[in-house]
Amino acid sequence: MKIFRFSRVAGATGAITAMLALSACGGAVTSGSPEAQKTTGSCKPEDVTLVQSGRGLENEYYVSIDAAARKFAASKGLESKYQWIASDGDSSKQLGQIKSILAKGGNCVVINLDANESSLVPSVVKEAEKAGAWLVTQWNKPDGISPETSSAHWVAHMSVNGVPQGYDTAKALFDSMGGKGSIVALQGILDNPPAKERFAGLQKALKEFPGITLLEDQTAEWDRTKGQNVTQTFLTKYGDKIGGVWTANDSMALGALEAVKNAGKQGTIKVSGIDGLAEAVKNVENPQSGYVATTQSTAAAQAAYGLAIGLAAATGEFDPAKEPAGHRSFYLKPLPAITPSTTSSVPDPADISKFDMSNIWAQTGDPIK
Amino acid sequence: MNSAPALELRQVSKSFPGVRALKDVSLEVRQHEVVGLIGENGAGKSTLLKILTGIQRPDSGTMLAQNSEVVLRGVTEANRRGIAMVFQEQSLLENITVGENVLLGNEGETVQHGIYHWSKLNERAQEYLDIVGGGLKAEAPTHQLSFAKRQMVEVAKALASGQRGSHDPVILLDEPTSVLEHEEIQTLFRIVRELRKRASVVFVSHRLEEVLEICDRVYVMRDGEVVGECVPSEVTMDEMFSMMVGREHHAGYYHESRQLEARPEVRLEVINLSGRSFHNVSFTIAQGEVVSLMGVQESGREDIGRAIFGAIPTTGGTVRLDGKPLEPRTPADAVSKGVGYIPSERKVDGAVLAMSVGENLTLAHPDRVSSGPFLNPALEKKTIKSWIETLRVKTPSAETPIRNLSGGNQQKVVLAKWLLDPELKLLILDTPTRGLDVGAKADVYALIRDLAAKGLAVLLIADTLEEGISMSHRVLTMKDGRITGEMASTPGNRPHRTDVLEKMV
Amino acid sequence: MSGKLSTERPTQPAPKQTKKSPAGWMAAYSDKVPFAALIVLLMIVLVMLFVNPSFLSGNNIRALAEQSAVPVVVAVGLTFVILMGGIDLSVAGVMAAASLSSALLLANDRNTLSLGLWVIPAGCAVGAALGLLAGLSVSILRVPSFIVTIGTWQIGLGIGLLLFGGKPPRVLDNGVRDLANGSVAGVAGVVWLAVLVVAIGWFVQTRTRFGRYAYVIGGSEETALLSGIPVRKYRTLSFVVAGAAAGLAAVMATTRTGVGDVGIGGSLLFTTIAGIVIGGTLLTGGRGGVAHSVVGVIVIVAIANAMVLGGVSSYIQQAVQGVVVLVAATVALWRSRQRLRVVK
Repeated sequence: MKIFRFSRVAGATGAITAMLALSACGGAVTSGSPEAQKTTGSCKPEDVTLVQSGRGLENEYYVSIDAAARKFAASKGLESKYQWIASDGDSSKQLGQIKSILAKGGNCVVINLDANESSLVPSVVKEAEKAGAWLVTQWNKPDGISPETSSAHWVAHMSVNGVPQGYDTAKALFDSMGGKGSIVALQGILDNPPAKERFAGLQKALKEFPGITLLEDQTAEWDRTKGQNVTQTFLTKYGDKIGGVWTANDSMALGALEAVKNAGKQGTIKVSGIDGLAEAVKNVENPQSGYVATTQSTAAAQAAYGLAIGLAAATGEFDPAKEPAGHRSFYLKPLPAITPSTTSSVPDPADISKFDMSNIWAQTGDPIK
Repeated sequence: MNSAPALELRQVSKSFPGVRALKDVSLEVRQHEVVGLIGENGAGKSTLLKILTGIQRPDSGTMLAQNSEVVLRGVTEANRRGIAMVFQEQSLLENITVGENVLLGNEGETVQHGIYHWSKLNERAQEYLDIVGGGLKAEAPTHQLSFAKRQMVEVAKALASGQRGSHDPVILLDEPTSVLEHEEIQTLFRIVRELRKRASVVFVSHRLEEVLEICDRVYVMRDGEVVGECVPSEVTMDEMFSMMVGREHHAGYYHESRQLEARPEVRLEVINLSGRSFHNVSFTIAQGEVVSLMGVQESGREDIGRAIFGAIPTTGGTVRLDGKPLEPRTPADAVSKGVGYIPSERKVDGAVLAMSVGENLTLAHPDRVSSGPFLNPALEKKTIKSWIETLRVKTPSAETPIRNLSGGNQQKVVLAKWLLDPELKLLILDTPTRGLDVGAKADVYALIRDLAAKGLAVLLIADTLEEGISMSHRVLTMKDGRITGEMASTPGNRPHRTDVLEKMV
Repeated sequence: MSGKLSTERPTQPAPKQTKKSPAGWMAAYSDKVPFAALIVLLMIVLVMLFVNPSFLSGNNIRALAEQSAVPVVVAVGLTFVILMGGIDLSVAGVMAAASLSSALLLANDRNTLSLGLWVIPAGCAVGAALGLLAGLSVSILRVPSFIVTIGTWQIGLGIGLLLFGGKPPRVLDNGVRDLANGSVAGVAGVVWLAVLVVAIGWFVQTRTRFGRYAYVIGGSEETALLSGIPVRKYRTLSFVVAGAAAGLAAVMATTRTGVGDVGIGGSLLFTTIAGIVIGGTLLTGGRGGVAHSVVGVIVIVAIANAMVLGGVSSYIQQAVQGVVVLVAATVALWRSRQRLRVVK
């Protein structure tokens, strides 16, 4: 049902951004403005404006992103030049916000962009290039184009590999079940890359655990209520056969946990999630909850290293054009899963103090092909 | 009993920008009488009714109820004075019960603290429904009722609204018969006679016969003035018609003197035609002949017209035009072979309605206003002008969109379009005069006579018994989808109404 | 010129007398009973008898009832707005505000408040206040309800966001949570609440001036005004009722999931409006009612449930659901389609 709502918005904004993307394609590669010719930044560190973009603060993940980004800005003495912009799921709004910031800030703007949809990225790249600003993108970019092949001003693209997340949590789930039994799985919105990757991780783990059977997978569209409803229906359908519920995110897992509780099976049926929501972590800490795994939040790393890489490019610390491809498009190093045995060492999702910020590539993992 | 008039207007005038709608109108409605109000469209009847119901206020003049002056500021206030109107366009809501409709906005003690007491409400509404009769039940859902029954509910509703006054109410009936079939009109008249015992009735109609039949007294209006007051037993229809239209009624209402002999050549042959609502229907129409198809609602008569035109499917039988089969029967095919059809719902074709009077007259047949391949503007102008004059189309100009014209004038333009068509062989008219006033009707009848004189075959599905009998060469009666009788009809030797009716029911 | 008094009007075709054929009989009562939606529900049941009979098991019926409870409550309130020919799109926003407020008013991990069951009237009040704002804007400022309720949707979301403050407040009042989720006489508390709301809705629709005038106003606002009905007052009230219902629904959903969530009503607009339309309540107003909306919503919930039970792949579920909704809406609207038929 969410897709109905989702695709309607996407339909309207998609049309706009598709047009923008078309007009942007050529420009992103060869722009004639003098600023764009310069591939190394020459801003003084104190002149740089740091911009963190995301969906909106009704979401715990973005609250952490904003908090971590703010901490990073403070660590560089740029707190007063830090800005958070919320797209509220509206691509044209996001592009508009970025345009007006670039119009004011010019070539000393660093944007850590979580694009509302991947087709928006080329337009933002073009705008950044035109202004001579520095862009780092998170999660979404269109297939076929990447920083190393486009523009020095698109400094880097970073994402989180869902495969190890799905794999680690699945393994923890299976271990808690003693390596045998049957599970059901709740997927995210099916065409989202993280949903695909996380599910691929689950499948990888299933191959290693012949004693575990996947009874069925269904989408619950990342949604807590839907996670609860679908799990309730699974419980009706499979009854006592179900030993575990693997889910692609913590919201759905928390919904599933409610369904399990209401069926009186708490503790008997194990549940796993991904993302490291505070409530999920709290549940994992409690051995009676049956919530056996989630992952550490990637918010702090994405916010801090995204801005750090952009800042380094803006101040001329390195020349993006000369960096290897593995520093231009990459996955973050996988963070360990949170299981009952590791909860004591879980950092706050917005905590950047544990990171080695002197090395901007400290968390750079596998390249994205 | 108090003998003061229930309602009285003295020297009432009302103007709208550019129009003097009412000029010094004085009239009175006495207690327990049925007063007729007749006049052509634009004569001022509508404005008068609006003043009587408080929807509009007069510029000058006074209104008195029971000898005391009243100023009405709206329908609700008129109701409080005992004046209630049965709207021409039905104002009943289909989605609530009959009883709720009757007492709408007037529920009184049947609704307490916002809570409905259904038994009380139904009981109260039933009292009014019983007065109008017809076996109406307060609990029934309204959407199931026929048009005629709904009108009876409207009367009950008006009666209930008018009952709020301290005297017997005045019920205004605005063109109540325009959408009713013959037998339903008789029922309405029975109700009006019943109403007269407990109310005064103002009966607005465009049908002379009806006004003469039901009213005690009639006011004739023309151009915003009352031009005559008469007692039905003392006047003839033609006298009244002349008063209304202000011109001599030389030709008579139906122009019967212009009915020519039909030609011997058969134009239309319908053989064993069957469809959803009619079975094995066979008849012929000769050139120059008008045949009317008479039947009650649901007798299948409208469907036969539509089926010949190809607008609805048939299940068997053949139709021949000038000896050649009319196949396949689709509207487009029918038109190309010379068949015209005028539906009773005139406003269905929005595109045509948006076109001007002139375009409507000429666009379908540009050859009539062209010299060679070129449109001849002078000729076009002249042709249009002459048609507007001949037809007495009341239009500000030839450029006026047809939708701004009154129904009668629209109908004249639509008919004239067919008159211009040299290829037309058969014209099917589905209640072409429904909703028109007498003057416009007389003009339409004249047009039908002209079309027949040109050799056209005309199939007339008549609005009233009189119309069907007086306009046609032959009358075909229908019942339950079958032809039940055929009667020749010539001026001076028309079939008798009761004979026709007998075959219909 | 008032259209009512104009002598020029299109001639309406006379309505046919209803014959008592099965179709006619259904036509006669479809204003009271949502036949079309019931037929669709029956079809779902019949299909599921073959595909997976556990659809009709006690457990699944209970699951269906629990999953329907929240959207049903929203739909009951919304029905009155739609009956009057309006629309209320603010469900998601109203529920966001009410969900956060109720989570923070119950015992929670954020503050020391603990109102217990008083959270029910409190949640309703939050919704009613937003509804009042929408209602007054519609009836006094004469802004179309479509626009106004998009506005109150945003306002509600804004309030929710303000209260959210970065982390969803968890409900710790286990008494209230058990009442909502745990079974009372074999059925979850939220279901009992929904049944109560439906009963009240039914009473309001059939026995009160507000309910009856909703039909009148939706049938013809002009007639309502001519009959001296204070249309503005009732229209405003309809938005208050819808808001209160959405507020209550938010309380129910919050106690069911155990967390104050800004996105709690996110997908409910589709469920409720599609359900209302399938039930046979016309968006143009005047037809349908509480029973129609309830059955319609249950159909939507049952479709989702049936597809999981039937093991329909996630990849084609959306399409299947779309088709079923389309078929259901067509069946439901068949009669009004005929009503609107134009014979030329």
